[in-house]
Amino acid sequence: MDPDRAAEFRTFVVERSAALFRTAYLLTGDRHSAEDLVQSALAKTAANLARLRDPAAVEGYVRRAMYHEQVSWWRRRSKAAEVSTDHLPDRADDGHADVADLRLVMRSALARLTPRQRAVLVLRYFEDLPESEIAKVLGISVGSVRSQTHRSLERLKKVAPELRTMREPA
Amino acid sequence: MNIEDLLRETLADMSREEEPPPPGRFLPGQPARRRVWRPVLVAAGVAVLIAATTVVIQRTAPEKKDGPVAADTSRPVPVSKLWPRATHVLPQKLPNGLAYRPEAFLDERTLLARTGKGDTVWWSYDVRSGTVKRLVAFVPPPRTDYTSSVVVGSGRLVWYTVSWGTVKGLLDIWTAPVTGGTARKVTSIRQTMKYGDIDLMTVVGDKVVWSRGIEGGLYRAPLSGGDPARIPGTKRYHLLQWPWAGISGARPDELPDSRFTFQRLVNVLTGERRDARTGTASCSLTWCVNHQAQALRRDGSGRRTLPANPLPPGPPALDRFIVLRQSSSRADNRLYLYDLKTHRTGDLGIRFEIKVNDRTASDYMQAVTIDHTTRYVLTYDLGDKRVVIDLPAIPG
Repeated sequence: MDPDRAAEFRTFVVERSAALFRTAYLLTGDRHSAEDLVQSALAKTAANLARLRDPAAVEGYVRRAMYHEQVSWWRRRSKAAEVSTDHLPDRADDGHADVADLRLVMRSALARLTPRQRAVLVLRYFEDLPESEIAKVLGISVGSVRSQTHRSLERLKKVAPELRTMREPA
Repeated sequence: MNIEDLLRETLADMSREEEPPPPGRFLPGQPARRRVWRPVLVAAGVAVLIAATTVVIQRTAPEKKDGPVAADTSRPVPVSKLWPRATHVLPQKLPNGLAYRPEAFLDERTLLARTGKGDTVWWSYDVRSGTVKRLVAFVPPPRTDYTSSVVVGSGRLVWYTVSWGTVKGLLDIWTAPVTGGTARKVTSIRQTMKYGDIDLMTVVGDKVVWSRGIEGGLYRAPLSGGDPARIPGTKRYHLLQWPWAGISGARPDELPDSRFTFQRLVNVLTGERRDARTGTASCSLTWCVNHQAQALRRDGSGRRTLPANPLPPGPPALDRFIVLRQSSSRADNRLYLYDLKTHRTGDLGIRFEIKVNDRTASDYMQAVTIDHTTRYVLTYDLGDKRVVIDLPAIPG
């Protein structure tokens, strides 16, 4: 393999691993799993570099590999191995939790979603991707993206009733 | 706020709470962590070692539709020769023996230097005579986790402190006279970000103005003290440089990890819009830099190929400056400060090799990474010296 291209890949890792790690951390919710996920996705990308002629496609490939890895790894595991079941913070006394409290509630609720639900929300609300792009990344239809986003938001409200009091999206 | 906004804020908040590991963690030769994909790594790890690709930042031939593209082939000149009045090579300790961090130049010879962790002291450091004078001694409130850098304006220093980890995180904005004196609280904000939910703060006349990092929105408070108020009509705006703000929102030509690119700008005083016609690129008020190592004006004109690859492209600092990395091989990497306005390339004198288990490369690149939030100095250590470049003093 061309040593210049090898050097470029290393450079890509040096420059972009921090951003990749941040996304992986949102997907996994814990540092060690996030590191594993990034490394795994990079390894897969490296193995497929020959097919990636467009340089700009490399980061997209790594990110798709991360999402697939995360969703499929969890799919292979038994459902008994659900993620964290941290206790939700107590509700605000007056029933009108302020934003700081609500974020803590949201964090705990996110930890109780399935990896796929979490992935859909990270793609939609962190990476800000349109539905058509999310469908491509996850390899599902646009209709499925919509229904899974809806179900994921409903699940958040179910595990964290405090979120039900929020305004509906405009 | 609706549940979608809360989700955006929470995810953005979480994404910043864990410091990413050094890139060397992901380079071949690192011990693999546990977990199921180990068999993949055994095969693909070898591939990482020998395989490769060109990447996002690779310079590519310009597309034909863009017409001719000027190439910038000027030779880099050492910064101390190119910009002698702006480049200061200083000791790594103040004359009083304290370790310091350069914050800004107050005039062409007076550096505002900061010392201390927790309790913070700002000094004026006359870099010609080597004398230091204590300006402000600041004791942050109890449980402060972070004290920001300062911004300078209207004869004041302004900064903020963040207490995090408590259920109700607090951010306090402070001010003191630039000539020295006692720190006074300007206002307080409820928020949960570890390093403060402010993406840019500035002084405008007798007010401090800032935008919130996650959800955007421009806010102001009187420097004399008082409650913060959102500037009407600025929801989801992020400050670039007063009075210009970027409008957030999903857009296909923005970057894949939600870094903000300031493609869509609005003047919050006049309502004037300046949207970029550049494709995917990070923009300041005048200039944009794309992944093909090209710089061009916001309106798409003046496209030229840069003399080297931009270090992760972000909005240029002071609407002029970016840092470039020239790499002829893994062993030979050089960092340059490039002026988009004059097309001059200043060689920072930094040389490094990208190696496994060596943070030198990422430490250097981190130290010199600049963007629109960099308004005063570019600083890094070289040998036993500290180089401090007074960016606003670079002649245009």
